[in-house]
Amino acid sequence: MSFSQGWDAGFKSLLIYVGVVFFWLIFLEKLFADQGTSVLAMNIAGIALGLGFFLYRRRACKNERAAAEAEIAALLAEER
Amino acid sequence: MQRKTSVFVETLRYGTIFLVLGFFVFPIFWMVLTSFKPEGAIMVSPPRFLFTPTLENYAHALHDKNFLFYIKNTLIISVVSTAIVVVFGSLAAYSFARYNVGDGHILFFILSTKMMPAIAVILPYFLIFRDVGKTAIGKSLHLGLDQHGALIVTYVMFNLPFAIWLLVSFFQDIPRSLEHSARLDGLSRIQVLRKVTFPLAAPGIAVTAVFTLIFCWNEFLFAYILTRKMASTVTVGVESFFTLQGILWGPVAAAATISVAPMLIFVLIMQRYMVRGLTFGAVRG
Repeated sequence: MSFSQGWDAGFKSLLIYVGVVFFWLIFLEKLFADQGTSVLAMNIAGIALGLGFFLYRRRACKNERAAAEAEIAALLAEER
Repeated sequence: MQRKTSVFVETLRYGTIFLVLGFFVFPIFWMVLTSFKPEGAIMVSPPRFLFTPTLENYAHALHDKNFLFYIKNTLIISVVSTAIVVVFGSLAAYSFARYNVGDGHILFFILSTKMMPAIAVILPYFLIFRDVGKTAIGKSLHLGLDQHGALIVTYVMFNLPFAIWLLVSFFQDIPRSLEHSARLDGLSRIQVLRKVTFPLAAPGIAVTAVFTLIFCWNEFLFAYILTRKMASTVTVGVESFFTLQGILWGPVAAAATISVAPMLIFVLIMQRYMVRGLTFGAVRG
């Protein structure tokens, strides 16, 4: 994962976290009797989704790089 | 040994990413965080990261101050300005790139209008729009003070030079031979422009549109001076939370977050075109 890919994934992860906070406060918080539990659950959900997205992007970038390297290796082998 | 180095390099890389990301994104993060804070938790020292989030600041901004009205005004002004800039900018840039109109002198003259600071012309603009707004044409085109037309004209004037300069390099990168081939195939000059040149310059035009829209959306000085209430934009709307009783930091942060959101979504959608467009105009073989 390059620096720019990491930056992009990190920023989008942060946006996902903020999105979860909005969604939770508007739609889900009223379902909880205790506000403390709701905030805790919200943070866990936000962090899990944000981190999950970052790890997913990291794996996708690695796969893309591996595929590109394999393609180059195959081309070089063909030339030989 | 190889594995240990790899883990060290990976850790260093991700550490640097998070450090730099944190440094640049922290103001935005703090703005969003403040927008969720209850009034009592905003100006405390030391600052609080753990608090019970609330949407009361958003409710204040959206309902009490009717912030959507400012969003609507900004949307109208920005989109119309951007459309005008892109249409006229593309045509002007094409003529400069292909026919070298004015031997570069006119192109430089266009840029010279960007050399003066906006504050230098704000008073003449104010006087012009005040008087033009009283005429019949001014009234029909909404060109008076506190009307959308005045801001649209101003933004077009200030963004057109930038758009032309940006687009000229994109048009110069399109090979003339493609246009010659299309002409030989029987297309008229206008058809060549419509069917060959503009589609090839689409990434550049998209980049120009995005930048122009962002400039219009975030502009404050002209919006503040030329509007009072009916045509005020989001930047002026955020400023309206600076009251005589004090600065309402919670609603300010909520309003700022709301005003950032449309541009953020738009830029994320256009991201792919922007990257392609930026590299398209930069590299020459």
